[in-house]
Amino acid sequence: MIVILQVEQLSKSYNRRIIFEGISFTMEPGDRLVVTGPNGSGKSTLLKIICGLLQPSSGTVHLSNGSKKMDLAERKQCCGYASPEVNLYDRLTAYENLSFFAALRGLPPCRERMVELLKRLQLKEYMHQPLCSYSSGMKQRVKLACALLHEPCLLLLDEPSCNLDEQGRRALEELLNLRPLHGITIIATNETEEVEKFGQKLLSLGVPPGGAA
Amino acid sequence: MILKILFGAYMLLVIAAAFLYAPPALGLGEISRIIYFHVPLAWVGVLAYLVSMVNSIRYLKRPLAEYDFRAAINAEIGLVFTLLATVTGAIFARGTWGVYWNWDPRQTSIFVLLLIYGAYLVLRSSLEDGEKRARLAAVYSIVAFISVPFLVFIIPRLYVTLHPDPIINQSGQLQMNARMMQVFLASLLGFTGIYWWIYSLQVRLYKVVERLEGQK
Amino acid sequence: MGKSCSLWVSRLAALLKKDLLEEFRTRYAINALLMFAVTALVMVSFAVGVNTLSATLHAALLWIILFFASMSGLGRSFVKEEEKNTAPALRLAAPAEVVYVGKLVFNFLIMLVLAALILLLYLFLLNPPLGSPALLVLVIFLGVAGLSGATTILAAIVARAANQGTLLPVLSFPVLLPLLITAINATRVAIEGGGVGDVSQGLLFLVAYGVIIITASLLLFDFVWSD
Repeated sequence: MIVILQVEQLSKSYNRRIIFEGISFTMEPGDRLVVTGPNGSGKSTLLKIICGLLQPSSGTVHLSNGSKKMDLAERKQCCGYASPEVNLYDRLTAYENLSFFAALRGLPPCRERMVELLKRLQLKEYMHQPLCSYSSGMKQRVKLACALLHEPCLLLLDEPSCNLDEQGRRALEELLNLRPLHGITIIATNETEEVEKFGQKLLSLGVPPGGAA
Repeated sequence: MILKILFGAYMLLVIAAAFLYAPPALGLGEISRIIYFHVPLAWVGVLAYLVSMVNSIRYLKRPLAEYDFRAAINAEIGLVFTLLATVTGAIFARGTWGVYWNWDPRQTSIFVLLLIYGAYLVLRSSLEDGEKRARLAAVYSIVAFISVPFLVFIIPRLYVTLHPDPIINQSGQLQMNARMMQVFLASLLGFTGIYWWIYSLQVRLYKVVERLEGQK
Repeated sequence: MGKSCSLWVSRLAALLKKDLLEEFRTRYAINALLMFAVTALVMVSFAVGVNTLSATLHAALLWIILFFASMSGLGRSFVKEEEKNTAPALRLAAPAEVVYVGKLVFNFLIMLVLAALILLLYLFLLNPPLGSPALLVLVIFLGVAGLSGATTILAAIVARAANQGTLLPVLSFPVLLPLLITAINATRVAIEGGGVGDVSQGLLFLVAYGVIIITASLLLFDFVWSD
């Protein structure tokens, strides 16, 4: 699916405390955006609003497929999202987690794709062990696999390289380069290395007005 | 200002009439005068819940903080009125049936209303301020309301058969003469007026605070 | 239509399978609930001693145990998702109704297993007279359905609040009271040996209560579940 993302005059505040205001941008198929900014500038919040987990205080997010605008439920469905704040199921194995989310999203059974993803993330040997026996870096890899599983047309990664070692970072880069050409990717990070590598476009969120960073 | 003084005088008149003007009900004696306070209190308790629930539905349709405030303040006012209705009811029960509490259908219904109010306020206090609290409280208020018609329907059916006490039915339909009816209706109007006054004062206060916070 | 329906069912099945798999691995709900039920039943049994109870008391005791067992067990399924931060992933991947129905069916299954165990233990320890066993099973089945229906949406509310442990019974009691009163009454009739005809109104009421509370929950669940 080829989509265009339009973000217009987005702002978010919690109990009168403004996190960010007036954010607007448009992303064409194939665009990559890196969002940077100090702690508390609302990087994670922005990503959550774009994927539909949070509602903005004002402004709109539109994901359109050709001339058709998607509603909130469709938008949630076609997003891939990974964040340190969102976990997978500890008691299930990596493979079970992936097949659970695949079935929940209504994908046809896709064993090969799951195994291939896990292999690229060096998890193939561990894929039948429950996540509670994994290290945090390995869990992060499973989260990435889960976000990429359905080849989302809109991929949102919050601190994707958090807990990842050198090898993991290389795998991440490889996977991002393997994305379909028309896919839109947004990454929130403060690692200069990633900003340079992935930042085709850059959005820096400032210090929130009225709040010290 | 003049309206408030008039209203105060009106309420004094109602109270005095309840004791002096209205005759005691047949067979119930002086204790029956409590109905001029008990029934209006219970009525306001139910009314406040209805207003609270309507505002909850309005909030879910259109999330304005004001609707949430209206729902919450009605629950608080309603809790006080319902508590007073329960206490006056228990006194009435003691006077007519000899015990304060016997799970008569009416007592059970008012007690459940009290529980719903309590649960609603406990839920609010265990959530942080904001949209989420408003939404969850609104949903609870609606879900809890579902049980009310069931109670009204089911409890009398089961419990009248368990406690076939003729006094219960009789007291439900007090024979009122013209004087009693006048005082009763006047009191109903008066207590509804008190409720409306408290409610509108709170809403005005809320709007002033909102405006001041907005200016900051 | 047919396709979206089968998609809906397969999503529901996936969610149910996940919950059952987790439950099977941890056995949290069933273990904790079983221990609770055993403790409560043994306590009641000690207190009663050799005395014989009336049918009303038997019915009341049985439902008190069922009520508190469901309060300590059914809250878990949502609390767990929120505590372990798995809820957002679920919110993105599945529509809210699927999540509600999935959790409802899961809670219902857990309660059904539990009710069966409690009933057997109750018969074993307290030896109540059994007038019409079939009616008793029917009443408990319908009662448990309504109990799970109401508790599921309340548990979803509680999972998003603080002081979760005490909140669920507080919120549930007023909502469940009509159900409990009716179920206790119908259970009493069943123990005394009445027929379906004696409690037809009560049974109808239990069905109506379940249908209404589940319909309302379906309409309201999205407000509770999404941010």
